Amino acid sequence: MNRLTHYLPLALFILLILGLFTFLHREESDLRSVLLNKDFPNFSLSRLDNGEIITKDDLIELPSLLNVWATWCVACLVEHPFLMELRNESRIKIYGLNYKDDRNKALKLLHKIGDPYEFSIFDKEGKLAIDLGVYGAPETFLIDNQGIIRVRHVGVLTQEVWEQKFKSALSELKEDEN
Amino acid sequence: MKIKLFICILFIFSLSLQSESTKEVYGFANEIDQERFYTLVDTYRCPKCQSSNLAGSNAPIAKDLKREIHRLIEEGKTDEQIEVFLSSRYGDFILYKPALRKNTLILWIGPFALFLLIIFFVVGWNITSKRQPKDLEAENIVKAIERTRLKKLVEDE
Repeated sequence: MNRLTHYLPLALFILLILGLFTFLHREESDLRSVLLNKDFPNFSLSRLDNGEIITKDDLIELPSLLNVWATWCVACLVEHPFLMELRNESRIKIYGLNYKDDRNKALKLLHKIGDPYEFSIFDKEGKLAIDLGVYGAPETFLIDNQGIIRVRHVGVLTQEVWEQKFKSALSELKEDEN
Repeated sequence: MKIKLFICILFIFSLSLQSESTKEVYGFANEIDQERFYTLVDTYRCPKCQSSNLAGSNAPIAKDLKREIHRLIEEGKTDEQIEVFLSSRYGDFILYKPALRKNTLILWIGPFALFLLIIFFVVGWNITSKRQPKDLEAENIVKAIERTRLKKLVEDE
């Protein structure tokens, strides 16, 4: 009996850790996507290549991806080949959000390594990025044809992430349409 | 020992330098707004660096958020409106003081519950450990009695 009471604090401690984990861990993954299932924010920014004004309406004709990238972002170079692949193989439109960057540098880089985007939005001050809760690059959003954010991925977009996070969401969207 | 002290002092001064460095950039119409700005950037966590508040961070996103807070104050927004602005974009993550909700309840009552439990155990252990000396005493008495009985038995033979 005495032995058992000695182990009680340890048991309680483990319980506490488990409790904190289950309560707060789930919350944490939500934290990074408070905008999930919310409307894509309104914005008015210029196009990276020709300076034309772009608004939300230009993005949401179809389900589309918005990929946050920058020339200073090394991880963006890592996911670049996958984005190129996606552009060629998938029907989904990919838009870029050029985040806190230099216009000339960005254009040069796309010219050099290839441009996977329909077009990129030039967000020098990170205004739209703040409205999207972006805190780094790369990040990728899936927006449905109602302009609602369905998936948010922080970090490099890989084949694996694509299969796990995006494909199922896309097939759900297709089911909704039918 | 002296080296350790020296390092500590270096740390203390470097910290104060860091928080000073962000103070000069933003101008305000009046001092009240300026004070509000400093309080706000102290209150919110930097989403990128995670272990620092906005004031102490030089991450690009922290700079942008400071700029946004500056703008919102200039636009005449209240502290509550600014908190809504931040948390609707960056979630609870950015708040050092979490909102009281069902899933954050453990953060609010957890420490008190733990404190009560500890009190409970400490009191419980004290009671049992106080009882122990008495038991020992009784044991000693029994032993003494048995010893004399044994002695008697040996002597009798």
